[in-house]
Amino acid sequence: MKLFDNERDVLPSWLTSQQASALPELKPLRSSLIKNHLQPISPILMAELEAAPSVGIAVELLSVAITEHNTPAARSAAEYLKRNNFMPDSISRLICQTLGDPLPPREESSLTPIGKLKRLLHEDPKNPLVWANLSREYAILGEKDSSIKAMLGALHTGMNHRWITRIAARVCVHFDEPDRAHALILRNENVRSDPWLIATEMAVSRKAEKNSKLLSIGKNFLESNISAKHLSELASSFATLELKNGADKKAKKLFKQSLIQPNQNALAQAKWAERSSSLKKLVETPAYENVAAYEAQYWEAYSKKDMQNALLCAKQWFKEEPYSSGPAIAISYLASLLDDYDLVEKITTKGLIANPNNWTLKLNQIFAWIASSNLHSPTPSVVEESKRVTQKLEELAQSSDWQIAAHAIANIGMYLYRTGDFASGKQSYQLAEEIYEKHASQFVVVIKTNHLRESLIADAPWAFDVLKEIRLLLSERASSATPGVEYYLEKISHLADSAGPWTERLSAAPSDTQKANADISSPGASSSRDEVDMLSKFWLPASISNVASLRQFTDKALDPVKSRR
Amino acid sequence: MMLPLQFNNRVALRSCNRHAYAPPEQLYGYELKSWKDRRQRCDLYQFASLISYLFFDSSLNAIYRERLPVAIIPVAWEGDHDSYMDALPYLQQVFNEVLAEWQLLLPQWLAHEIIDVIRQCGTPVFGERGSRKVINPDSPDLGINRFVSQFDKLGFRASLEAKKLGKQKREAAS
Repeated sequence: MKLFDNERDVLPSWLTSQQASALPELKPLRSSLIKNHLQPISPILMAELEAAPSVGIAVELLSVAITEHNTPAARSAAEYLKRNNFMPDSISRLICQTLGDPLPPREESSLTPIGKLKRLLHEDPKNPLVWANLSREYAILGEKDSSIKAMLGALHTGMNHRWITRIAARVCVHFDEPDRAHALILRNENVRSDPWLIATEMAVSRKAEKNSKLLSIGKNFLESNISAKHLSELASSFATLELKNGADKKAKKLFKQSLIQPNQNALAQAKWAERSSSLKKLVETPAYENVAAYEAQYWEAYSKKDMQNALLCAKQWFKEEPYSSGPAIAISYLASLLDDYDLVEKITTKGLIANPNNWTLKLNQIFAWIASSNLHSPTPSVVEESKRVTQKLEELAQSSDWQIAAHAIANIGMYLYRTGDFASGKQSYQLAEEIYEKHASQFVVVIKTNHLRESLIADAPWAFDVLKEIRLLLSERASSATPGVEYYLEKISHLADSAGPWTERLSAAPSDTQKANADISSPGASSSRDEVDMLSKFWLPASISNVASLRQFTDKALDPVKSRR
Repeated sequence: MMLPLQFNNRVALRSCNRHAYAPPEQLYGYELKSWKDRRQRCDLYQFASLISYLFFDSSLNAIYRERLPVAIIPVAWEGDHDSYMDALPYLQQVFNEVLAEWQLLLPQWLAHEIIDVIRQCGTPVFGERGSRKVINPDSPDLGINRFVSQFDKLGFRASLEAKKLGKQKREAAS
């Protein structure tokens, strides 16, 4: 089922350059042997300022002390400048920042993110990071050609840069051009001496259905003495290869190697292996402590049936990868388990901007529309929309892709239930189940759960039979769908004693889920509420506060009560 | 001309290998093979930093320290990054961002040329430092004489602008 990403591979995340700065792949494989023997100068300038105070010395001390991280000296200089009313625009922010004063407001640009990046490129067309960020912005808008062109600009200006090459390959795979991705990777001059590039080359060659040309070099790297953090993705890529070849034992060993110092991608891949193969318990909780791995954390929370947390993680994942259909599909699935159709509608609409041809998102959007429309006594506009929806569903039900066809048929079943034709609705669901039974029987249970919801809402006499069938399936076989289905059954049994029709009972979701709507409506903006909630849910100890990207979590995590306030 | 002692002191300090003034390639421990890169291009960077200090009250290094992502801060500044080549795109980004901001802080007649000099002398890409009009990998000359001429010209222009300003003030007063 496309909700459960059977085909995940070790392709690099495509973050903004700012987010990527903290990734281990931005570090050299081996630390430089040249050590700096630079001496601090701020104490000398500080003495000079004390002996003969002047604005000139204070300005220089401020710069030097900030550079040398000498906070008391920087503070003295800033205080002196403020006292003497020397606050020119060029350093007023530095002075305020040093003194902890409120910062003067920055002039807000009226330009769009793309406009801002284009302006930066006008100033400096040779900056690969700006090209890469521009490519990402275009991808978020679903503009394939512009996105690829901008990424080619990044490749041209950032010749042989590891991160640029890797995300360039990622872009091509995202736009379904794996052959081009493969060619790009192989053009990097360092491809034979860089485990990060080899890991990507292996993943991309699998996508392009080609044989990797670097397997033997990659194997040598795995046995080398390079730091484990640089081999994490490579080991994960080899593990994936072994898993696909059916060598589970070898794969397990390699996954273990990938998790010594994992990055977020290796963690997510190991979680994928846990739910898609016989390998279990690869990832231990402490492994998360050094990485903000939202995709992996989403699956972890989901597998524990903690859907509120899973939703928060999926939203963070979506913020990191708004161009990708994966997190949007995950959020829409979770929101449907929470019967939050408004959220399903919002996230699918957003996801479809970047991925207009993703039929899973399209069908989930239709699902949300059916669930939230009054089809019993429709208004003229609903009638009009119904025609378009049913036509689309019938068209998709004929798709050569069995997953799309089955999904569409299940949606037709739902539509029929909601329009009062229960018997035909039941038949449609059964047809969708049959298709799944033939191709991926472990996911029949998901179709049945949807069927159960509709039969309960319709008060159909066979609802209990559907429930019994689901329970039987759950007892027979576990899959990645199991946590979601079990969660939904528990919810139904909890609501069974409540009064009122099932539509009202199901839609009376816990208040926590409602806030998701507001957050999703602006995925680019940071959500402090999300972060605070994440803090109270996760387990980042203060001892790792030297990891810059996590400081926001650890600093606050010291006092969870305070952080909730 | 007799310079005050404090100024002499700072000139002496600037010429040493210090955290505060060293160019990025040295801060990241990048091995520079030629004397031209090690000395001349390093001096040009400090020249650009001096201009930024005089016109914008801040050294280029202070800007990097303030604006680089934490993970890119070099070991020399108590960060943990030690790869000049990997950090370079980030240095370029900060450098260009700040030049765009600084350009708005000067009068139009001055802004373009000052920013252009800083761009040529202070770029974090050490191999590109020097006057772009004469820059040639094989030439021992980085075109410093061109910057001297440029500042001479700007000095003359500044005296004209000052006269113009004085005249305007007098007219406004009368």
